[in-house]
Amino acid sequence: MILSLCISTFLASLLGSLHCAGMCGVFAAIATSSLRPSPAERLRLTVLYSGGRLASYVALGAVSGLAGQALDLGAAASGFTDVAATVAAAVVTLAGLSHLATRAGIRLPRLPVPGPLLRFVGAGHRLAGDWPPAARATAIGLLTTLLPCHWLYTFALTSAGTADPIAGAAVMAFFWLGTLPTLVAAGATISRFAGRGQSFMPVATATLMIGAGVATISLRVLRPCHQSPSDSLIGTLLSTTCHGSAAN
Amino acid sequence: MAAGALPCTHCGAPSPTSDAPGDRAFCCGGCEVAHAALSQLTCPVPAPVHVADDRPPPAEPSPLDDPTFLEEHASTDDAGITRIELAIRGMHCASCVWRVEALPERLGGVYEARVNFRRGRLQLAFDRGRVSLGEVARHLSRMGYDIGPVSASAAAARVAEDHAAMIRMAVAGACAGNAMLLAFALYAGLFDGMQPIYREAFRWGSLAVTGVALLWPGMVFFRGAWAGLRSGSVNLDGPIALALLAGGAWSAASTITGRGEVYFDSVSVLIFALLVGRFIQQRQQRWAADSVELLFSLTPRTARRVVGSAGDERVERVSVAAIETGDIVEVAPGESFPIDGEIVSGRTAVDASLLTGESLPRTCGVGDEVFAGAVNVSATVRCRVTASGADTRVARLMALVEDASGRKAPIVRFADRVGGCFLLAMIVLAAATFLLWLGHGVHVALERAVSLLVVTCPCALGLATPLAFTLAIGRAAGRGILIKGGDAVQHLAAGGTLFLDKTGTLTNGRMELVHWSGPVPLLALVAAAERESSHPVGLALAAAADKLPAAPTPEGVTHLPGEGVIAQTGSSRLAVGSERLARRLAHVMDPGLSAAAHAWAGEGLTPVYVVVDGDLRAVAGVGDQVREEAPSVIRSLERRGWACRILSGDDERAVAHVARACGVGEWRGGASPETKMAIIKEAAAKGNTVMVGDGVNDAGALAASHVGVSVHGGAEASLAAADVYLAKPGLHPLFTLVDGCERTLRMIRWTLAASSVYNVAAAAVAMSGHMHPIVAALVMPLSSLTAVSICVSSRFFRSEP
Repeated sequence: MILSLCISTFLASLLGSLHCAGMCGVFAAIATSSLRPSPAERLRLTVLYSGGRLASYVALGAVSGLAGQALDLGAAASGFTDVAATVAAAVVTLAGLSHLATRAGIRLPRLPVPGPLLRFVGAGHRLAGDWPPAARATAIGLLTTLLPCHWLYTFALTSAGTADPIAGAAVMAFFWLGTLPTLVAAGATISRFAGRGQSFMPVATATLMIGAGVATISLRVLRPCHQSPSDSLIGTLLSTTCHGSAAN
Repeated sequence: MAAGALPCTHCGAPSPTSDAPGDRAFCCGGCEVAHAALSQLTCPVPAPVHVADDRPPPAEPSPLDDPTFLEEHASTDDAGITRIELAIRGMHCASCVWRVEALPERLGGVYEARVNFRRGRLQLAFDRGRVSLGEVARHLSRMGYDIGPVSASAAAARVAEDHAAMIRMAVAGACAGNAMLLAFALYAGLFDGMQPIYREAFRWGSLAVTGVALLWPGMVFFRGAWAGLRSGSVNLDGPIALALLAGGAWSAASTITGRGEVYFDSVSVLIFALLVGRFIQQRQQRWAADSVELLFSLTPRTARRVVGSAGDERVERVSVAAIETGDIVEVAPGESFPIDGEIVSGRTAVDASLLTGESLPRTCGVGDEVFAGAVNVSATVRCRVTASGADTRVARLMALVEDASGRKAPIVRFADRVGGCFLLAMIVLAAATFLLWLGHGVHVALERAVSLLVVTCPCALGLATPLAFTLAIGRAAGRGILIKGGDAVQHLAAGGTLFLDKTGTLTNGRMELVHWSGPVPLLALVAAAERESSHPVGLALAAAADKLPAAPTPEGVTHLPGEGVIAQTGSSRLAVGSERLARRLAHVMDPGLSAAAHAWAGEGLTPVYVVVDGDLRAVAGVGDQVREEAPSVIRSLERRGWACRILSGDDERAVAHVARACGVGEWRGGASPETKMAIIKEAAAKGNTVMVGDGVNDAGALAASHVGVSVHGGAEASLAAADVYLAKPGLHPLFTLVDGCERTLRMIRWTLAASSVYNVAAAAVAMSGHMHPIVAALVMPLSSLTAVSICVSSRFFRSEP
């Protein structure tokens, strides 16, 4: 089941990653710019930037999964089950719907960006901007997670819905994989493509968000799979069906 | 685009109409934050992603290669070698010094790289035609060190470094504490049982906490290891990072797979303990460094500055660093002058022996110059500052000594060689330990190997040895003994042949009245007659009147060159001079007085005859007296393995007399400076040779010996020719010097022996599996703390024979 979720995440991320080119393309370009623009140097910086992103995405996924697990544990003590998945699915679906509504011209209040976050991220990038290329690429990659991007946090919520830190981390790793082609190639070609796709991108991402919410509900809540938290990641990923003991 | 939608200011996607002024619109919070972050970036931001930009970025010029900078801070000799002193940051242990000093082997065009660890300075000698300073900086940067111009902000950088280290320790401490709490919970579950879900939660919590510890405070070890890898050199951070990584990865894998033990608490506490140990180590090194700051040992750190207008003046105590040229400072009796300046009010006696070699204080009044480091002896004075800090005469002198202190003693070079191999040997031993214990499981083998790497410490080898020399040189300076270089200290501790000049070294260096035979009131008359004399004998007789009642001033004083003085006192005619003068003027030569005069001449004294109205009435014996302490000091030196010889340009008889008086068996008189140099060279070829003499007249002999000790003249001139300058008169400082050097070497040998025993014992305990890595981390700073504390607390220069 987790593998299904991961594959869905990858596809959704790949499709929706044009949004990433718009938001993070400049950061990708800064991170991979160097005074010695040899292909090897560019590759090295790209690996560091992408590695930074992967590390922070996986950490975010693990933390989200852990939070979901804690929510489930607390709810289980009160007699509720699959609260994390339900909440995640609901929030993601609502977010997708709100985007569609905005697209349709309905004005909805947007949550303000917290000032401290704005300042922190700004300071972090300012600091990283003065560092040597390798450190700068890694830092910018790591800082990407702090951008309150609805697309990114949709998948963080999906990770929370797994109620498992390993699975959460895996979801975010697949999300990263989906964004990789776009951000690695963040250049003129992608830009032109993104420019043509600008009109349908909000609709596409909103639809995908709703899809993710529905998938979480259907896979996690409607088809419960009570996996032991102590199960290994490898075992989990290799299993495309519910865990044997749970199935029994 | 929907009605009312504006393109997102950041990504261009449609977004709702903004209410913000300026019509800035964002499609989401992410774009808003991204836009804000981009606007704060100071690095060159590439053109937006939708505009292709393949232009190569500009070349990266290093400010260190700026011609103006090099002109101001560097010097190039005739051979084309450029020398410069730079501030270096990022060094934290003795192995860093070795790595940086190995730069000439790694980078062509660099001839010498000498590190002054305690001052955080790097002295470079390089060929600008072959390598630029910018390239050197980049190479060092890859090794993990930053270099830059020496500036006043060094102290601020030091504070910032401390601040960062404390933050790292605090984070590591918090992580270690939380990891231990979670570990306690897991251990409790081990005994009392725990539901798997809680066990997993605690393990994941530990992973998160340890992850923070590894990625933040623990990053210093990874960074150091990475720098070591990139530069292809060995450093202690490498194995530590490997151990942390292995411990963390093993535990993370156990957590992910749900099988196996986790060691998050060990890893977290190890990081904390290592950081604490390193911090303590650095602090004690800095404390030691501060205590040997040569300038501080000779000048006060604070000064009393006079502020306010006339009539409303007040005195405030400020740091010497705050004193500026033109300020007025007040110096009380007994204090040292903190600055170079000119007296503007008051009159006092000033003891400037450190700089001038004058044994007696000089009286100074308004308009006279005074120098930092000189002692105000008698009264409070106020001075206008002409130079302070590094610009003072004593600071320049100390810079000369400090520069030369980089000369490494043979024992330091030995310690360097051993220390260089030490780390490699420990890594090999750790690998062997790992393989030996592998049968008990990877984590056990890893633990033993880590313990070994952490507990063994090259501190005493790499740090305590040069520190001891530096401390010894600093302490000696405080006693008026200026030593150039650790090699001089080691030679002076070794025993050998010690040549002493006679005049001023074994003798007082000035003519004195030694014997007087005749009526005492006549001596007062003689002194009065010689009052205007410039001849050394005349001066000695004139000086004798200081303790006698005043005599009438003679009239018609006539100086007879080579013979003496004739004067008229009342109705009598007084003649003072040589035997030839006396025989010419005296009707009768008193046989008793003549016999006494001849006997004194046999002692090496100059006989002076006093004839009054044609009668020989008195005789005096004048000479340069042997110092009172000379025999005892020479005996003490010989007991310590020095064969003492006298080497003088004076008359053979006088030298023989002094040799007998001092108990010296071998002497050579009438030696010209060239002869002296030849004798010293011959002796130096046979063994360790020290020459003690005049910094100016004996310059050649001083330079030819292994160690030249200057006892005369100003400090600057003496230190130009000699390795050691004794500012205080007498032979006691010579004994103090030799004794202090012996103590220094003895202490170093003890430290090296103790360090060897410690490392062998600690390695054995760690390899045998009786030491946990955390205990090792706690023990490690103790060893260096002990070594450095022994050095700092040692009183190297203290005794008199």
